[in-house]
Amino acid sequence: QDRINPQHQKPQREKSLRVITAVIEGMKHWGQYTNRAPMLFEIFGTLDSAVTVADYGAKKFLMRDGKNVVQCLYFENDQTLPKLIRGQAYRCIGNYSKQTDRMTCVSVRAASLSEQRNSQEAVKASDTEMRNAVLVLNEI
Amino acid sequence: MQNYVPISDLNMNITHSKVVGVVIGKTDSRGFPDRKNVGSERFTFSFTIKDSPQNFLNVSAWGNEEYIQALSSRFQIGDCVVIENPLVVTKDYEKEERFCPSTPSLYRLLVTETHSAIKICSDLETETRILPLFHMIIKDPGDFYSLRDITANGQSLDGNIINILAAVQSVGEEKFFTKSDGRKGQRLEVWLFDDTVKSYPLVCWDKEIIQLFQTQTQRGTVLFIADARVTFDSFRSCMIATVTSKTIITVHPDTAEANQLYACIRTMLETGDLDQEVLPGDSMQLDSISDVLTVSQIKARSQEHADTFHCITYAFITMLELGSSISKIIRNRCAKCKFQITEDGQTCSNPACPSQGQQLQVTSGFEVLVDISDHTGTLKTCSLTGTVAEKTLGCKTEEFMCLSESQRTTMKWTLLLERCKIYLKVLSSPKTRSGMKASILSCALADPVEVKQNLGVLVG
Repeated sequence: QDRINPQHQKPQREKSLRVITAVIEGMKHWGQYTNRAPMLFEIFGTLDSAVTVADYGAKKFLMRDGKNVVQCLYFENDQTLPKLIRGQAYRCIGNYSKQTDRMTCVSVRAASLSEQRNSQEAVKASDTEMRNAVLVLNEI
Repeated sequence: MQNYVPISDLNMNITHSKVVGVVIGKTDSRGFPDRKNVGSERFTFSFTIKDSPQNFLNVSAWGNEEYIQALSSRFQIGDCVVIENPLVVTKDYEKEERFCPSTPSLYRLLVTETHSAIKICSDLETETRILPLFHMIIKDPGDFYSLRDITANGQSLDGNIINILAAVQSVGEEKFFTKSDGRKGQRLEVWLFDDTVKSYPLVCWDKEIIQLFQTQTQRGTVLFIADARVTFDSFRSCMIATVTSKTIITVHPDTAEANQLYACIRTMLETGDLDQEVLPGDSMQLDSISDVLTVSQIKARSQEHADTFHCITYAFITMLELGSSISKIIRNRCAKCKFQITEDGQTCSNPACPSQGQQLQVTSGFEVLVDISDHTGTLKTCSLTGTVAEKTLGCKTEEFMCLSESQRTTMKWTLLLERCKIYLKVLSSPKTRSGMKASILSCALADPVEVKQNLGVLVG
């Protein structure tokens, strides 16, 4: 199954998956709502550690943007993790768990210069959307 | 009256000649900086005339802007013209072959304001003899690619100059823009079809050619397009044909092959067969779709009213099922009624099928379901089918069937979780849970700059 279903459980209400482009700080903030509104996060950052092996054969590494860092995990299910070079820019997509403060990535690849330069607007659009969505969530 | 010099008899020693012919091709006028007169420009345009089935040659006119514009506006492709006192010069093969239609003649004609004149032929007898030549093609009648030949060859044809026999499916809207040098430019997209492919793009940049399409063709008009350039369009990631300065388009070509094609497509046009599927270009051209919407806006709009609408969305593919069994991705359908048939089926199981009891004809094509998500939500099970799927995946069904599991996985990840520019056709569908059905008309990786610009507007 290729279906990307975060948390592997259907939300109670009809709430469909969102892909949120965020900075690491933003991901950690919106990440507290993932149990109520399914979300995948897209982040751009630099690799700030070696890639090491974690439990269950997962690959573990640190991503950084500015002062913020996030621990990332990647399970090589149908794709092996590409060779990552410390200090270079990557784009990660995955789930963020507030409990473990970790991002479980499903896609990791080099970020193009153009993507890095132009991702701001997507971050802004995602922030605006999430602010509104959270207002609605809190009303219920 | 009949003192015209036949093109076949032209040579450098002829002076004060008159040449008559039908204009089979013509370029827009262009300006060049004048080397002898710094700061001013010289203008030129060329055209190709034909005076017998075998003979045609290129003519170019040079002069100041006023003269060239006026001269060029006096006639168009399809007119019968008389050229008085042109200069006959030997053709420079290298230049000529690169920028002008290839001609069998050793010469070309030069027209200048002081010496020569171009008039519309007013002599009925000559005109009656010359005009039918307009429909005679300049290549061997069998030397063409069908649209299926082109698509089957895929990117291996990239950059090639080929001949195409096909009919006009639809003519798009002319788009205007300003080029980097400040000059005005225009672009027209024409969709071609034949009995093998229902929609294939042909791009035109020249005003003369655009005018030809706008005034002399309609849906179903058969064309023989000699020396069109076929290239890979990375923006849309598909192969397209382009009309260049070498291209000669023959409208209603007078060949057996063209008549055969016309007979085939006439029934397609009459039965409405052409309209049945969602075509990649459709009568709705991608070019004319400009509404950019988010996923939640698409959902809202489809709930507001039941009308079909088209839009663009910059979103991620969050589900793309390519790993499961082939029969779920590539489906076989009855060619007559499009009813789905099982692999071992010998007949069409649709009781209302017009081919009931006859030999079953099967068409097969991609039928992939994808989820599309952005920051506002997900559109589930959008259909990605037929040639749109082939273009999106960059692979024909036959090729796909030969791919290994890991090759398919690699293919999947070129799109999965990537931000794409997706053109959608959205229909209301009360039967489905979401109340709507979305078909993808085009899907390709999005340009980050474009994403930024459009998301900026959506937030604003």
